[in-house]
Amino acid sequence: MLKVAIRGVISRKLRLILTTTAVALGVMLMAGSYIFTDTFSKGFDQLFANAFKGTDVSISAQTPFDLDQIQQPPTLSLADVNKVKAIDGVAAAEGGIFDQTATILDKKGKAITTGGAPQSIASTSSVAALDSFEFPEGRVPTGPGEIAMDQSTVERKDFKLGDTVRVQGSGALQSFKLVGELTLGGSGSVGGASIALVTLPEAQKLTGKEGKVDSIAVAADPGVTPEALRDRIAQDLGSKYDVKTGQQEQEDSAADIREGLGILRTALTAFAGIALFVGAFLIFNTFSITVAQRMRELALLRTLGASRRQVRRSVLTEGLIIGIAGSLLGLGLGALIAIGLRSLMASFGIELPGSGLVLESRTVILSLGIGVAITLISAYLPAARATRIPPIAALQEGVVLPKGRGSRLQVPIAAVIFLVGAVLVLLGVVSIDDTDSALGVRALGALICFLGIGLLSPKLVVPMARTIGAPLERMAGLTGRLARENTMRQPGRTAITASALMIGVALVTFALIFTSSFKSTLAEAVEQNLHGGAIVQDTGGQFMSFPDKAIGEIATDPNVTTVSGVSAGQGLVLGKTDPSDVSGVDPDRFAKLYELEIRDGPKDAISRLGVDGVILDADYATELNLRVGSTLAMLTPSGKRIALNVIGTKHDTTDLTGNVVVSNEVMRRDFGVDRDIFAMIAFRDGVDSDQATKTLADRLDGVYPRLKVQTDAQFQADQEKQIDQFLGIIFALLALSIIVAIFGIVNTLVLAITERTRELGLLRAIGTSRRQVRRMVRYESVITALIGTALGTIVGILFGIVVARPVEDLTFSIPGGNIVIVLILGAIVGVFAAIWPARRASKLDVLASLSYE
Amino acid sequence: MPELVSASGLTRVYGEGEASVVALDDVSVEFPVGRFTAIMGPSGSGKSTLMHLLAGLDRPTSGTVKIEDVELGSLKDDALTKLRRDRIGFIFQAFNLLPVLTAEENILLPQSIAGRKADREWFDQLVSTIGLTDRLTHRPSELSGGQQQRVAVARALASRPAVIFADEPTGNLDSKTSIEILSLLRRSVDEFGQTIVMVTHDESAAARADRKIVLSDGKIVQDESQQPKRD
Repeated sequence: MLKVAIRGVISRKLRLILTTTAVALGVMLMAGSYIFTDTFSKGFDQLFANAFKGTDVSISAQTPFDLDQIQQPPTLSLADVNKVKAIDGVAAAEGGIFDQTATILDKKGKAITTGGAPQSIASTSSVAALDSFEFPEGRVPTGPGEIAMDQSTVERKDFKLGDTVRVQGSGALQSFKLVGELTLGGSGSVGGASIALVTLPEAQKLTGKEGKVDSIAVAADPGVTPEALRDRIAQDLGSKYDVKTGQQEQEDSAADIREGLGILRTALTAFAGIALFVGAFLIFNTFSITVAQRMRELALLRTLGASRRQVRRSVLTEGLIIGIAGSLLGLGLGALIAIGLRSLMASFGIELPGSGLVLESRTVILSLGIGVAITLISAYLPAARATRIPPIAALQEGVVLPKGRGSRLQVPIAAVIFLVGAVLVLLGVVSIDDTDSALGVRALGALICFLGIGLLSPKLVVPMARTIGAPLERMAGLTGRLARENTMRQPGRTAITASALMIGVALVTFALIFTSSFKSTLAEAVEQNLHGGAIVQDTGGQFMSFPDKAIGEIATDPNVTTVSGVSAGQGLVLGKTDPSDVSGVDPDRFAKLYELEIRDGPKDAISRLGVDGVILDADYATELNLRVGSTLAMLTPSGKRIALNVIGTKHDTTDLTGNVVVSNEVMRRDFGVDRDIFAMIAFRDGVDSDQATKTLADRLDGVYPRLKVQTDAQFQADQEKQIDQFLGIIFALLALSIIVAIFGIVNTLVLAITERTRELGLLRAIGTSRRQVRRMVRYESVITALIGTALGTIVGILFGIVVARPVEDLTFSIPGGNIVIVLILGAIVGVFAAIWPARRASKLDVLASLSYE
Repeated sequence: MPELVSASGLTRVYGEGEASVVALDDVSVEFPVGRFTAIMGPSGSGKSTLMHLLAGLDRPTSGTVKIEDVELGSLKDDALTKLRRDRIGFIFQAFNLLPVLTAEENILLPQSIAGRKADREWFDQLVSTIGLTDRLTHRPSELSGGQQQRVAVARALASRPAVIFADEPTGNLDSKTSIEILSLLRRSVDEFGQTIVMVTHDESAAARADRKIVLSDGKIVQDESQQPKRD
């Protein structure tokens, strides 16, 4: 029987190709996202291993809670360095600057962008053991006015040794002479970041940290273990210092990065899961059809004395062979996907470290395991059904696969599954606070919903095909009619094929609704909260803050009447475990430029903030059980304990301000933050804001090149563009599951055509032209695709209503035009999927198909 | 009598080189209007090949086929398809009908494919002659084998083709139903002047024809007119 199975696999090439491809497509994205994330994760590990290779112990200032990037970490003093040097067992200790708020200008004077990766100012090391960089070109900077940069930036921006490089830290732009190109562990790119390496005094000056360092690196005396030295230093310095071994620091840094990029991994895995889910539909359908087509063959085996078990086993063996072959192929395609994703990221300016592709055994096991399991299940169910019919009946013409035992219960079961999914989605929306698990529950609920609709859809196919096919029939007469009848012939098949497409379309629709709602919200917020002036942002993204004197510079512009900076930091409210975002505002000017809705407290609460007042987000205040008149106690990043009077609560639809709003004075004094991340501007009456914005932008460009000045409208357009970019990425990732679904349509059509060879032969014999045959197949494809698309948009809109609608402060909006476009694209997908099957059908040899066995 | 279908020097070779098989060997034959011809012969004699070539379903290795003075060899696929649709009717042994269409739709299929309106009067006459009036809305799966084959006959006649080719039309039927179908064909020749060429290996079926051609090893070995058996 094994021989029969193997022969069976090989002899039917078309069936083999279609089923193997089905499995490969299902596995592909999953394998790809694992390979991709493993590769860059390993790349970062190596990067940090190299960065800390000579460091035995690393010291930084202790913070009472973990900071994210909006808050600059506190610094250490030079006195600290001297103290460490004196500790027994320390061979060398060196203070260093590593500051991520730099701007490096290219040769044209434009700020270099790194697509989210930081631009850093780092200080050179004078201790060989602690120096982690190599200089394949030029040398290490040794004096004032000298700089070295990472090789990748130098090459990308076409710098040569001896060129002038301009860098801005917290103060004015400074010019340096390029004396070297640095690499880290042989790699010219430091995880996509740009590094400006200067001597320690220059670094301190650039970053405004005169007399201070960010961290201290220590090399141990021979014979002293890093652990022992760490403990000794920690004891000597006391609790205000964070002392780690180099190894620990390296692991923590890599873990931080990995956590940051973990979102990417989660997202990729989610999309891979979707593609796999869609792929499972495809695999299942392909096997159902091929087994149905082989019923006579299987029945012949049975009449020749093979037992049911033997027949089933032979089908399973075939499934196993195809499952393994398809999964391996999927793994290979996955590697290609990983390479593709990497170039995609690179085209967005995100260069990830790591070379080659990392194939963990986990990836292989998962890909093969899941691929083979889905294939076996898909192969077994129809085989089990096929063996239930009496062999002699199956040998006759025109037998159809008997329905499964549960077919009578299908509708109630589908309804129950759908309801379970819907309840999960609702639970995720309504009653779970934790964002991550709520998201997980919703996603699971959505998948279960899809399954329910997939099971229910055979019942929907007939009426839907009738509706969608009606205009085609009027338009194209018989070919339209036959196409529609063909889709209704095996409603189950059409349903599964369409459901696969439905999933992708539903998610696209859902994403469209969400982004459209975001845009409406944004538009409303700009309309309500801003007053028609301009906005100044740092183009560097979340790592960045304004250089010190930028606000002053803006204020001197003759067109500007008011400028108000907003600063950001983090603090830990006593009793909470996670830090809160703290915003610093200018009490005198903020309210003139931004309409912040005050819920409780005096309407002019902002101007009363003073040096000890705080305004809390209304919901946050409720959560903390505080009201106007209460005292808020919190820890600042330096460990200082402060108490502020709650003078009001606010509601900020844009979330421009954090949960805690204080005056800029408090930010400076208690949080050590004296730079703004964002500023709003009002122009004098009668000044054209477009013109004034341009004038100001030109003026700032020479002094603070990374600041971007935009009118409210430009700001809105810019934000919308970012939303669209995000949507673009989502679409790119969903495209794969849609491709899988399109292949599903191709597969079903090709197999159906094989099945209807005689009918096609008859049609051709009695005078149907090739073009008419092609048209018939195309219409069948379009009807199937439109059923999937229509179901998908309906489900997507429902998800949107259930998930997005209840989100507070989100202006729910359904983008009608875009949804119509989705439907049109659905029809185009159908036309596209039909190209190959239609050609096959029209090329059929009439005679051969009439005598087809 | 005018020659409706004529073939001269028809040869059909399958395969190449040593494995090649000569299915039809230099056959010339004519079919005049309004006659019912039966082509007989043992399996592999070339009778089906001859019919396929005559009907434009296959192309000869050499030789020509003319239907109503149109030479089939000169036609491209589209024109040939159109000719089959408009001028030829087919009745096959099995798989004559599209399962998704009703009996009426199946009968009118060639006209629908052509995008033409059916001749209602002719259709009604045909259907009542054939006895399908109360079966028109049924699908093939709801019809007996004999009824299915009657629908096929009606379809072949519906477009008033120049010639009907029937390939073992009774091969799948019991003897009683076979007689029904054969007398139907006979009547269409007698009453409507239809030209029919039928391939069969059944002597009693061939006895209904006006003329009997016997093939053996790709050659015509017998060709004679006969008095058809009528019920």
